[in-house]
Amino acid sequence: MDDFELTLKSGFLEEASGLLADAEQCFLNLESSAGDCSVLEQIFRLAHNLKGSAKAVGFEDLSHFTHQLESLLLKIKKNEIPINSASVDLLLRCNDHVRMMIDGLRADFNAKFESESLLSEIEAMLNGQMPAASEPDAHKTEEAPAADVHAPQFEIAVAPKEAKPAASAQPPSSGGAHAEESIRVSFARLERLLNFVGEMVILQTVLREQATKVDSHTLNRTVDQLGKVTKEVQDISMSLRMVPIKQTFQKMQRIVRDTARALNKEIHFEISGEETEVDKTLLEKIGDPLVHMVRNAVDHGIENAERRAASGKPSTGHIRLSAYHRSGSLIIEVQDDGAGLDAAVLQKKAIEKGIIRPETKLSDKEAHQLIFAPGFSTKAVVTDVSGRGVGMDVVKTNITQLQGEIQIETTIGKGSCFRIILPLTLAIIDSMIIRCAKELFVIPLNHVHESLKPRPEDLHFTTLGEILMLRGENIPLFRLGEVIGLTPPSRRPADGIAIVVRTQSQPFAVLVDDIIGQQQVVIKTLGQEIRHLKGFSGSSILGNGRPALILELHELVIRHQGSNRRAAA
Amino acid sequence: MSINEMNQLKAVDGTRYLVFSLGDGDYAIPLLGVREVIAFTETTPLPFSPPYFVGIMNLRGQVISIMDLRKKFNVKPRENAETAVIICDLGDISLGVVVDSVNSVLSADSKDIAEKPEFTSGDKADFVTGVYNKNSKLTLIVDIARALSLDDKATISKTGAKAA
Repeated sequence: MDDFELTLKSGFLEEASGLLADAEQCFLNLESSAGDCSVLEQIFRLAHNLKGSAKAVGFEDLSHFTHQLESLLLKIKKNEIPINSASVDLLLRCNDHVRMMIDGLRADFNAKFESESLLSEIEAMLNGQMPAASEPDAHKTEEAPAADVHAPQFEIAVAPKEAKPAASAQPPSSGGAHAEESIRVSFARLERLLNFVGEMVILQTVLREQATKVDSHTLNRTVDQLGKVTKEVQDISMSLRMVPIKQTFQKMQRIVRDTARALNKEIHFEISGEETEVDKTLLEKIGDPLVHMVRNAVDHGIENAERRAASGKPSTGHIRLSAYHRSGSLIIEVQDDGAGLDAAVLQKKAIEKGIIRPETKLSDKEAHQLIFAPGFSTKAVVTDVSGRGVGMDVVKTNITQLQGEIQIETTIGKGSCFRIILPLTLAIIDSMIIRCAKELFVIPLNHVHESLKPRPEDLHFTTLGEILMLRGENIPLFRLGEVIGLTPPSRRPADGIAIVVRTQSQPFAVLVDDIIGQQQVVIKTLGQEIRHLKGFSGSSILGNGRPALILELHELVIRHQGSNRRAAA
Repeated sequence: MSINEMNQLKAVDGTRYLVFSLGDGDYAIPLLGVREVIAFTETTPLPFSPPYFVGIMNLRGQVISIMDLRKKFNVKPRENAETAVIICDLGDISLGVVVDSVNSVLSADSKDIAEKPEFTSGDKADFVTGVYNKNSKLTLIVDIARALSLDDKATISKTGAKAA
């Protein structure tokens, strides 16, 4: 096992522990809020990610097991298996089993695991047999004590015997080498540091002003020096979040190799810009989307050898992964010289799957976006590699959450280029500060398409709600004060400013009282107790020293429509 | 410190509590869960939140949620209140609670702390963990974490769905 592979594997195990912790919480939520689709959706994605990554770094047992688990989850998601204590119990035991496998792998990369009894239980449930509560227990003790969640020690103790002597000697050495290069710091601590540095910068400017009033040369000199040091500390603390994208890119190399081998394709994989620095939180979150995109490029993008030969291309396909900074954004491109996306085929598939209606007319660009629809897949067969139609959906969700966007450039027969455009950091955003009633709010600038002062004759009250006529287009208009419950509903034409949002498929406009200005703001997360409140992605401390909420207009409007509908019913 | 650890602390002799007033009543919370006490400052209201949720404030660069314990416990604020905010560390959550006044620090032996009376039932009783009784003055020992986790998360979501 070479160093490269070791890095990959230990990287995966770290990531997997995080995924598992999330998964466990979800499983528990599942039981308390049965029927909540979003929880299932999340579990499904977690399982999918785990499977993909496990396969990528070569943990076959784990990958096989999670593949089965995923099938089970899919059935539950489709309501073919009810969510009851029996199914949740099985899921939790699967979760424990996966955790045990990961712990085992951490001790020894070559550990083998016996999952038969759990797999057969999954199989049974897939086939519609609901096991009686006592049955699995009896089954386990009789046949396969190894899969029992209470016996992880047994597994781990057995594993080294199977491992080859050379391999078992390696893991400790890799662990030792890493500990010296860097230390891991919890993100919460880093955030606290950044908070205090921010406050220090403000205090330092205050001190400077006060010092000028005192006629003391030495004091002023000290304040100047303090200013320089403060600036330095600020720069360093901000850069603590930045890491090169290298490790994530290297992981892709392995994924391309293995996926290509599984599909019998020859692919030349090229990487550029791996030194590009990326915000650590951002990097953690783009890992999974990238895996999906790269795998998709291999699976769907590059044609098989016969088709390539038929269209006169060299038999080896090319995939190029690159990263670079451009005008304050991070750009990541996945480029292939494959078949390209055929808008007509995509539309046909989408109609078959019931994602769009047969009569819907889409432009080519809109048709390309169909690959991001949940449940969309052009593959007829579900394979280990792809075809379940969750991949690109996950990509889109993750990227949107990061305030980013995906562009597709594609030519039929020539290939495609998927371009992810992301902010350089999640800590700072360009924003528009607006006023509504007496309160100030922050709107991410990239959500704002345009802002205008509507003339009274452009505003129309209809039974469907208020409509803004904008250059011949009818755009639904919402009053921010009503949406967030600050002002009572009114039908008078207001003298506010309309902010047009086009980030979603349907444009909409939000009427605010005033625009205060545009500025970069530092995002502060909200406390856990209110983080689940939809419609607010965080807060930011403005120049007046008070926090202002960062609005997710889209979510607010959806919630508003929902409550209106309930009120009408 | 986790909520569990904090609950364990209450059994130990000599545990110290911060005593504060809401209306005419005295209440106490474990001192180890208190980060600091500050004067009430301006807050930013949070839409879709229940009435006792005052809003969010800037505490030296950290954004913190502020809850009015008087409204939460349904107590009438005192007229000459020296309103203060107690910043509590509850596991992963930092939270400010508005009280009428902060009085003293109390060092209590476990024999001085009685179980809460049985007849108290309903929501209120759940975040009272005990009663400190000395010199015929009653102080209710409350668990802020429980006051919040009990129903606030649910309430905030529910109120949010109903609002607007």
